Amino acid sequence: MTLIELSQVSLTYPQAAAPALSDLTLAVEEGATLSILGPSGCGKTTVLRAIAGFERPQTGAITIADRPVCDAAHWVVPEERGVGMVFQDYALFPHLTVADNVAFGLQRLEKAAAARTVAQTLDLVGLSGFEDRYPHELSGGQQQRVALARALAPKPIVLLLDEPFSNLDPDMRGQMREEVEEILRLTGTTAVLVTHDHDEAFAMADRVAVLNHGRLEQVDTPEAIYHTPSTPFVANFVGQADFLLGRVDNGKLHTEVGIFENVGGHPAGAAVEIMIRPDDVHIVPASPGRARIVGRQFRGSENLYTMILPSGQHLHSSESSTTVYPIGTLVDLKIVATHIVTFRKS
Amino acid sequence: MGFQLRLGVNFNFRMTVLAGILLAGVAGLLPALPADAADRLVIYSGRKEKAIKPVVDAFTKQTGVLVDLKVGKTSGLANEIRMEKARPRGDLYISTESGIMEILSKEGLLEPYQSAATKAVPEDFRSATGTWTGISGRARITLYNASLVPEKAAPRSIFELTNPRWKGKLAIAGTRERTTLAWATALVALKGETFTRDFLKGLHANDLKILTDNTEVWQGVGRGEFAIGLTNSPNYYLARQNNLPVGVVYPDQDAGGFGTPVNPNAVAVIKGAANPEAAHKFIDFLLSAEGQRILVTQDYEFPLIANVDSSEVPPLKSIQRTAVTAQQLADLEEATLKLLTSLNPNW
Amino acid sequence: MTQAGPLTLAPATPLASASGWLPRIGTLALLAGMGLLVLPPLLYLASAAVKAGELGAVTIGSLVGLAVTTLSLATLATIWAMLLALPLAWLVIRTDLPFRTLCRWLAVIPLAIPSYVGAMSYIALLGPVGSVNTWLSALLGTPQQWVNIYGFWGGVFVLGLFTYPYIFLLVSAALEATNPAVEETARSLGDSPLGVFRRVTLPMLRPSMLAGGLLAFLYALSDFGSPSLLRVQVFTTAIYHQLNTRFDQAAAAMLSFVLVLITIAVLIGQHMLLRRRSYVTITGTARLARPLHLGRWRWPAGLLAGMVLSLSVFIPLGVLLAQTGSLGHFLEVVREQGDYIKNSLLIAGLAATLAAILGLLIAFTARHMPPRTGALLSGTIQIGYAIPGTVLGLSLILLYNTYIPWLYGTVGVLVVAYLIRFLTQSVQGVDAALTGINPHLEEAARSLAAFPWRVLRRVLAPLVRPTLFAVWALVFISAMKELDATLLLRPAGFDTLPVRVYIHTVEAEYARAAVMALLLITFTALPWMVVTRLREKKLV
Repeated sequence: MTLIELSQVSLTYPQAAAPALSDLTLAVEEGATLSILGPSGCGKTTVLRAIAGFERPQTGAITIADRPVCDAAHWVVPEERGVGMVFQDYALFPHLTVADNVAFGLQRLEKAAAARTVAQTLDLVGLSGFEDRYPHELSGGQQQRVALARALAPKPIVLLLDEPFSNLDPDMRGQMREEVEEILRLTGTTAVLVTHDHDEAFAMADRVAVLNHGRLEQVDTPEAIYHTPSTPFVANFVGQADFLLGRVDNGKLHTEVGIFENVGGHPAGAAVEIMIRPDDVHIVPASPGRARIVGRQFRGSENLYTMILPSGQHLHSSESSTTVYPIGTLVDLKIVATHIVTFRKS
Repeated sequence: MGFQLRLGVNFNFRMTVLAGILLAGVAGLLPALPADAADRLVIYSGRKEKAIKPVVDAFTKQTGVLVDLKVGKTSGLANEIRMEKARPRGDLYISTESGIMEILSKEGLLEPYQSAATKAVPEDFRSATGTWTGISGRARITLYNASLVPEKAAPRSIFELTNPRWKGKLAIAGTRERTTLAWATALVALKGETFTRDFLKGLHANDLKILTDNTEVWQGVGRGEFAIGLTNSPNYYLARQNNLPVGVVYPDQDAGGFGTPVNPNAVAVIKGAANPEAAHKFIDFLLSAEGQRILVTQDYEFPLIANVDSSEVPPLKSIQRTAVTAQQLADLEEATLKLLTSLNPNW
Repeated sequence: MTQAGPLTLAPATPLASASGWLPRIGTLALLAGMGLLVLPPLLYLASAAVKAGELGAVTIGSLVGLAVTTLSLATLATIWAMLLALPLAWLVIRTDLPFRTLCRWLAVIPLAIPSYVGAMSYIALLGPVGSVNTWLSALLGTPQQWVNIYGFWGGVFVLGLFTYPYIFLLVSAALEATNPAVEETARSLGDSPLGVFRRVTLPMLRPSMLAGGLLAFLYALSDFGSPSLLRVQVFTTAIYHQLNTRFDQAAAAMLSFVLVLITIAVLIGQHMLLRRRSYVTITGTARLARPLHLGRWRWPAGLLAGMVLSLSVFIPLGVLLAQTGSLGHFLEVVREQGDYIKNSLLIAGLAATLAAILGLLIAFTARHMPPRTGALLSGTIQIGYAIPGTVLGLSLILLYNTYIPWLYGTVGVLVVAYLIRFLTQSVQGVDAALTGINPHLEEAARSLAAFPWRVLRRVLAPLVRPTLFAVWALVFISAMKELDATLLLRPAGFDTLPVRVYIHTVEAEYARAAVMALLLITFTALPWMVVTRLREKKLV
C-alpha cells in the first residue's frame, strides 16, 4: 500500500531565483525505505520538510496514509501529521533526560503506558539503562540512538531521517547503518532517508530517488540505479563513470576504443554517449599501446588507474590492488561490458 | 548552556505563570481592601509637604487615623479632582487660595461641612454655603534685601515698582504658584483689567524676572540676586531662619489704598469622598488650638480664628487687607491667567 | 541597559499559516492586547491635540522656542557625552592605562544612577543653597551666589554626564572587536598614534558612535527629572507646567503631540542611519590589539580618566553620602519612609514579573508571524520605550480617566505605564535568546505532536530561563528608576523612591533626598552589576 504520495509538488523559497522542487512526483510503499539521494542543494531536505509540514509547496499535493495533508484545499500542521523526524544534528532536548526525551511525544498516553513504551524503545535501540543520562553526557552514536528512539516511540506513520549518519565518525557509520536498518526492519517502519552518500543509499534503501536541482532524475531499486542509470547525471552521481563518444554506423556504435551493440536503438548517424564503469575496463600493458596511464589511486581494495586516450579523453580502470602499473605505462584497453548504457547526445 | 545553570529550584513554568498572575491580582486588589480603605484619609495638598506634614503627623498621633498625602500644585490637584469626578479618589483638598475653592464649589465638586470650629472662622475666609473653610492665611508681601535696600528706601506700595530705579531688580514666582494668580486677579478685580495690564507691562519694562516658585524668590532676594521679591509672608521668616539679610513690607497700607492681599489656605471635603468622617475630623483638627499652633509656629502663617496666639507673626487685624472676595477671584482667575500669559509666556 | 535600537525578530517556521483556529485567535488577541496598551494613549493624545482649537498659552513662538531649547540641550548633552566617552573608551581598551579594568567597570555605573539623582547631587553641591555656596559664603563673609548649576548649561552638563555610558559601552565593544591589523599597518607606515586614531580608528567607530549618540540624544530629549530640577525649560517641563497651572489639557496635549513627532522623527532617522551600516558584532576570536604603551603620557591619561569617573561616579556618590550624614540619620529616614520603599519594591517587582511573562509570550508568538506583522508588533512595543514618560503619563490620564475610570488612580495604571515603557526590554532580550536556540529543537517538538503552548512551556522556556531572570532584573531596574510617568500617575500615598527624591530636592531637603537616592541606587546598581557580570560570562 502506498503510504506517502507526492504529486507534482513544486516549491520555491521566497526571494530564491530557482525553484527548490519542480514537479516532483514520488511514492513510498508501506514498510519500505526510500532513500532520496542527491548533491548539496538538490532539494532533498526540502522534500523531507515538505512531507513533515515544515515547508509549504506552492503547487502539488501530498498524501499521507490516504489522507491529504497538503494541497489546494488542505493543510495539516506538522503536529498533526504523525510524522517522526530524526535531524542531522539529532536536536535532542538538552535540558531533559534521555527518558524524558523519548517520552516527549507520548503525552497522550498515561504515565505507566508511557514508561513502558520508553523502556521498550530504549531497549530496541540498545540504550537500556541510559534513562537518567543527559544528552551532553552521551557520545554521538548514543545521541543518534536517542533521537531515533524519540522519533519511534509514538509509533509514527513514517520516519524521516535527514542525513542521519553524516555527523558520525566514518568508522561508526557502517555499524550504525546496520543497526538502524535492523531496527527499521524489526519494527516494520516506513522510512524516508535523505543522503548525499550513494553507498548509504544503496545499503539502506529498498528504492532510491535521485534528485538534481529539484527535479527527480530517476527512482528505482539501487541495482537499477547503478547499472541502468537513466541520465548521465545519475550515472555520474552513483559511481565512477566515464562517457565515450560514439556514432551509430551500420547498426553498431563505433567508439575510440571499440565497437559496441547499439543498445537503445539509436538512429543511424546519431551521436551517442556510452557510459562505462571502471570495473568494465581492463588494461594490458602493451607497446605501443593506445592509451597511457597518467594516474593511479590506491584504494585499499583496488587500484584506480586514470588513462589518457589519443583523442585526449580520460578513462578509468579498476584493477586489482596487488598489480601496480607505473605512471607513464602504455596500455591497451579491453572493455568487457556486461551491459552498456547509452545516452543520446543532445 | 542555560540548562546547566541548575539554580536549585526546579523551574516550573506553570507555577511561575500562576505565581505572576497571583501577584498581580494581589497587588491590584491591595488598594481596594475594605479594611484598609476605611481607615485611610486621602488628602490632596497644594501646600508643600514641609508645611503640611507636621499637622498630618500630629493628627495621626492624636486620632490614630492614617493619612495618604498627595502633595502637588494647587491648580494641578484641582484638575485631578475635576477629572476624578466619576470616581473620586481623594477625601480632602487643601488649596493655597480661595478663588479655586469657589470655582470647584460652583462646579459642584465639594461637599459642605460646617461645625463649631468652622463657624469660628471669619466669614471673609469661608464659603457662605460651607463648602470650604480657610485654615490660615498668608499675606502678599514685598520682600527686600536689607543689604541692597535701606529700610527707609523700601517701596511701600507695589505700584512704585514700575519706577525705573527698580529695573532688573524685581522677582516674582510664576502662576505655578496659585497665590501669584490670586494676587494678579485681585488687581483685576479692584483696579480693572486695563489698569492691571498697564501695571504689569510696566513691571515687564523693568525686567521683572519670573521664577518657578516662591522658594527661588526668597532665596534669590536673600543672596542679593534681586533687590525686591513679591512673595508670601511665611517666606520672610524662612529667609530669616536661613540667616539671610531680608526685610519685609506689607504694601499699600495707606488709607484707601489697595491693601495687602491675604490668601487663606483653604480646606474642603471632596464630593463623593470615601471617608468623610475622617475628613471632618481633620478639618476640626486643623482649626483646633493644636493644629493652629503648628501652622502658626512652624509655618509662620496667620491664624484666621480670633483668639489664637500669633506669636512672631503680626496679628491679622493689624494689616489692612485687600477687599477682594473669593467670588470675585473665582470669576476672574481664568481671564487673568490669559492676560498674564499674553504678556509673557513665562507666567 | 537594552538599547531602543532596531528590533529584529528572526522569523522561524510560520505558524500563522496553520489551519488551526487557536493560533490565529491567539495572534489576534496578542496584537489587540499590545495595541490596547500602547496605541490608545497616543491616539487620544493626537485627537486631544487636534481638538485643541485654541492653544491657550501655547503660541507658535513659544513652541519654536521650546523646540530650539530642547533640541539644543539634547545635542549639546550628546556632544558632551561623546567627549567623555571616546577618550575613556580608547584609553581603557587600547592602551596600558593602569587600573583600566576597574575603570571600565566603573564607567558603566552611571547607568544605574538616574539622571535626576545626578542632578540632585550637583544641586546639593553647586546649587544656590548648595554646599559650595554655603561654604564660600561662610569663608568670605558675604552671602552671595558664587556658582549656580541651575539653567541650560547645568542641564547639558548633567545629562551628558549620565548618558555617556551608552556611548562608552558601544564604542568599547567596537574597539574590542575590530581587527587591529589595520591600525598596526598604519603605525608601521609611520603614522603617529594620534594620526592613526583620526584616520583609521575613528571611521571604524562611526557606527557605534552613532548608535550610542542617538541613545544619549533620545534620553536627553525625553527626560523630565533633571531638566525640571535644574530649571531648564524644555518640552517635558512645559507639559508638566501646563498640567499644573491650566484647567484644560489642550495645551499640554499639543505640546506632547509635538514632542512625540520630534521623537518619531529621531527614531526614523536612527532606523535609516543604522540600517545601512553594519553592526560590529563581538566575536570571541577577535585578536586583541597590542596595548599602546603610554609611558609618561600615563599621568595625563590617568588624570583624564579620573576626572571623568569623578564627575560621574565619585562626586555624586560622595555628595549623597555626605548629605546623608550618619548611619543613624540614614536609618531614621528609612524608618520614616519605609512605606515608600515597600511601594517601590512591590511595583517594580510586579512590573518585572509581568514583563518577563509577557515578553516570553510575545517573543515566541512574533517569531511565527509573517515578517511584516512581526515587525508591526515589535515597532508598536518599541514606541512605548521611546515615548517620553511625561507624555505617556498624560496620555494614560486622559485615556483611562475617560474610558476606564476604575483603573485610573490605582496602582494598576502605574503597572500599565511601566509595561508600556519597558516591555520592549523583555521582548528584545527573550527574542535574542530564542534566536540562539537551535530551530531544529522546535521542529522536533512539533513533529512529536507538541502544539505551540507545549513547545513554549516544555522546550523553549526552560532553555531561556537565565534570560528570563536577566530581563526580570532589567525591567525591575527600569521600573525602580522611573520618575516621569510615576509623578503624574501615582495614587495618593503611593509615592515611590524616585518621587521622594524629586519632592525632597524641590523642597531643598537635600539630606532626605540623599538617603532616598542612595537606597534607590542600591536597588538598581546591584542587580545591574550582577546582570552585567553574568552577561559577560555569557551565562544569560
